[in-house]
Amino acid sequence: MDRFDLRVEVPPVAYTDLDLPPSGDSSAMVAARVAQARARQTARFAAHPGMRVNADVEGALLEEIARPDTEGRALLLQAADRFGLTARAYHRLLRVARTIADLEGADAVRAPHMAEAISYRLMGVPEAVGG
Amino acid sequence: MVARALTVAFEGINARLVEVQCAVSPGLPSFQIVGLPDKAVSEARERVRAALSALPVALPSKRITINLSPADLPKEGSHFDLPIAMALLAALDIIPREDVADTVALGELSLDGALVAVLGALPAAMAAGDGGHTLFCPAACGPEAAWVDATRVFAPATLAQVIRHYSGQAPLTPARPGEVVQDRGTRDLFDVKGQERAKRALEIAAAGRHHMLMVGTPGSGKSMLAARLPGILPDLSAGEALETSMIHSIAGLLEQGGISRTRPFREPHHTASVAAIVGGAKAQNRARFRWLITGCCFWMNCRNFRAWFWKHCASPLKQAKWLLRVRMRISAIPAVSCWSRRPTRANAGICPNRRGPARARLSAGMITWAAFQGR
Repeated sequence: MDRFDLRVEVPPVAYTDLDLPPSGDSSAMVAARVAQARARQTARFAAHPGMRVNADVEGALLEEIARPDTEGRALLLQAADRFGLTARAYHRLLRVARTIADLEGADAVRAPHMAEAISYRLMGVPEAVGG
Repeated sequence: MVARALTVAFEGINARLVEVQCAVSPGLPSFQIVGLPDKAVSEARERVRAALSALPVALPSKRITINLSPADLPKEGSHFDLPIAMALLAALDIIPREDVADTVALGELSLDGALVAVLGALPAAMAAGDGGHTLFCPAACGPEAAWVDATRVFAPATLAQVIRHYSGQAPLTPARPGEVVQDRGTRDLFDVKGQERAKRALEIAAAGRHHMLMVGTPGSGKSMLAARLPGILPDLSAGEALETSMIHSIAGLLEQGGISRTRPFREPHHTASVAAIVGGAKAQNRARFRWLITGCCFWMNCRNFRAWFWKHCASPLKQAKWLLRVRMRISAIPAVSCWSRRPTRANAGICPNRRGPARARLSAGMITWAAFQGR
């Protein structure tokens, strides 16, 4: 479980919701945002051959490009302490938070990005579900 | 004197140049092919003989020996017919030896001399281009081979056209490249009602090439969401499209020579064998190539996959790459990986690996999922 970057629960959809008109963005709109985020990554990794996307980054470069701000770091440490996150989870969180910041077009990884990244790791963590 | 022509042998998705040498010498009349040919290459003898008599070209009552060099490299496939026929025609002084010696050819002959489409024209064109050679391939493979613009590609429909090209009676015109297929598919994220959180996770996965796991009851829309992943991923870059197309070319999946920029979507069944998923040893088994992943892969009901699968998977999952083993050559192809499963008790947060620490590794956890279910 630890190796998955993103874990989400897909709950059953209520029949009443199916009657409603479609909501959310179309594939084209999402694809445009994804393309922008990928373009930021391409520019970032231009000097690093062999790396194309955030998932490829490791080590010192990851620490450099995905360094969260003070608030984000506090949140990360708190989550790591509370849920017993592994070292692998720590690095994966940094990568995912970097991607979320890229989708927003933000240069720095801030607390909201880190919070969202942490939220995708909580499924299956005993403390998080009260088990 | 020996006449020479060039062709290719495939090692995984790479094409390696092979020289076809033809010697016509005095002796008991015979027609032999040496140089580690497989059954399909050995049978080229009969096809070439029949195609030449259909032209008509009479084979001399001499000893004809074909050598495929390097002789220690195994040769597989039916694409050796055309180069063998061309080397033989050059040895009989029907077409000029020096021109044929500089030409890479591939194609299967039918008994009436028509050229039948073969697999791997695109990698062959790349190999021909690297060596500065011209490529001859069947008409049906022309658009695919010409796409890379690496070399001049001629795509004759019959062996007679090859002879008329060299004799100057009817020179062939270079093949035109196939068109880039623009197909975004009809599946739109807009169709999925609700599931906003999963949609957002899908977007993040696509943006950073992260892998994601979806857990939910049957019918909640996991497959529907995963099927919409190719639609939100950016188009393949030129290099990636070439890499994908080379694989598709070897697997015979390119239709009409059209190259697609859309990322492929694969959905392996959990009963698939390990060879079917991570690539088998024989390039001949085309079905095994169908799992090649360059875009995204959806592993439905992932806990049903067997223990060996997780052992093989741990590394690709870690690196977000998929390792492809073809004839011992390993190439890693980046993929966005999307997984789904139904909820189990393991989902409630109980660690299935009781011996290990609470943060049990995925592999250990997954392997025991099946056993865990029964309790």
